[in-house]
Amino acid sequence: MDFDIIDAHTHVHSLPNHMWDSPPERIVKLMDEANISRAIIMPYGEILPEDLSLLEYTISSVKKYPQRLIGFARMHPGGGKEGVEIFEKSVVEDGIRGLKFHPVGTSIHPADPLSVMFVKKACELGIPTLFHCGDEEWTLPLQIAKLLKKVPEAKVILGHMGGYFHVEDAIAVAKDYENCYLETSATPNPKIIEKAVAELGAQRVIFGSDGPGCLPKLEVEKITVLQLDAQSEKQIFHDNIMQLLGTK
Amino acid sequence: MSSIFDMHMYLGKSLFHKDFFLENLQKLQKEYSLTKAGIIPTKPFAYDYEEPNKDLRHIAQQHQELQHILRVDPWRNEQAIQMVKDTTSSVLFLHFFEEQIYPTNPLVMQVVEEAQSKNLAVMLASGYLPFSHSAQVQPLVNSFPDVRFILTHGGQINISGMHMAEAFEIFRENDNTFFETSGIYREDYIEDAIDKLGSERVLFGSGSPYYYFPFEVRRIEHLKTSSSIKEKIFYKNAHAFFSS
Repeated sequence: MDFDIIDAHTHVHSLPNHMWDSPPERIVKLMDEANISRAIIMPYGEILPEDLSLLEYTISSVKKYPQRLIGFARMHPGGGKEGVEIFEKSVVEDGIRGLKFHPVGTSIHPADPLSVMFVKKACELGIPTLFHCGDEEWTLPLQIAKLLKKVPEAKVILGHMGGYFHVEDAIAVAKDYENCYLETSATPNPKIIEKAVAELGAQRVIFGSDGPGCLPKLEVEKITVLQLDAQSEKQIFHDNIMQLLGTK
Repeated sequence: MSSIFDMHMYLGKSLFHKDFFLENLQKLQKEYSLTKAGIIPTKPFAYDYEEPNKDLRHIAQQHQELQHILRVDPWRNEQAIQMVKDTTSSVLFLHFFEEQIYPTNPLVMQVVEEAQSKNLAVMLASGYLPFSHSAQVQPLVNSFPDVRFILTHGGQINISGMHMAEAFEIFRENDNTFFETSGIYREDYIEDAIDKLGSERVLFGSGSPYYYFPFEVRRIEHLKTSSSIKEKIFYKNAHAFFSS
């Protein structure tokens, strides 16, 4: 491949002695094994104003590997205006490049006014929002579509592109909203990614691994096994996410 | 490449438009080292498994490398029990989600009792909310300690792994359970099964056509384990399973 592979969805989080323990060294090693140049990182838990340790961990991980890691802030919408201010500061002062929402962890609807407030701030800052988008309540593609209806200018990435059972819905939502992108991690069947590329175009599909839980090397193969043309692979592995991040 | 015994393939015209036929399977046999396969009827438009089971039994008779796995709908109580009584298959398959029945329903228990009386193993399509979450499957498994159960997808198919710990509990607490690998999105979950349950309890399945066979093979090939264990997962365990 004559381009750098960018992984749009990975995790760092300190959980000593737990199988999900994910110090930055772990994801960097897995990136090396998979020939991934750079990865977007985020913690497994939500950031609230009362405890900024996960935000600090994300920022310090990026500082440790500035050429390899890019930080997204996984905010809890319940943090309200104070949370939005913290999020903005992390972007302006600490180099955070995107917003992450995992509504399973917060039980706050993607289109709730609290969520909308954060997403509008992300728009104002010119950065994307990555949603966990799977099969669980609060994360369905059609629920995230309600957020897009309220904030159509939002650049939204549907992480896992609908999980096991909701990929068709994710494709439909992306058809309705041109700023909506599908991210490939964890969804188990490569053929559904092929379908997304056929129906939306490769410019709307973004590679992510969800490492270190999912194995980045295998997640890369989930795309390469489809034997797409070189231009499509470049868009999926590199161009699309770099464009969203405002970087060529 | 290792030989492959795929424990989990569906054949037939599918109500859910997941058609997969003998020629599709034979194409995989040519392209990969797919030497044996367990074949299960897809859910048919007629909602009746009698003919699909007959068809697959006939196919298996014509093709020694294929093992017919009997599928029944427990809602069709008398028919289901009679099909278990009459079967020459050694494995019964139940898909609670597609039949829309809970594992704890007495009709399910009756079918599994009949399977037990014939010493059949039972494969359970597992992890599908709201019908086959591991917490729903566990009481059924606990009720039949002498039946060998195969739980597909390692017992869970949540994209965040939220049900992994509960699913794993079933395997840990029941030595009569086997861990099938299709569609498992985290490879370390399979590695954990190898380490903690023993590699002989892990069986390769592709879940074709719901999952993509070439990629399901790669899942196993990428596991951080020895080639001898991968061989066990790919085919040796399945051979032992069917011969015991």
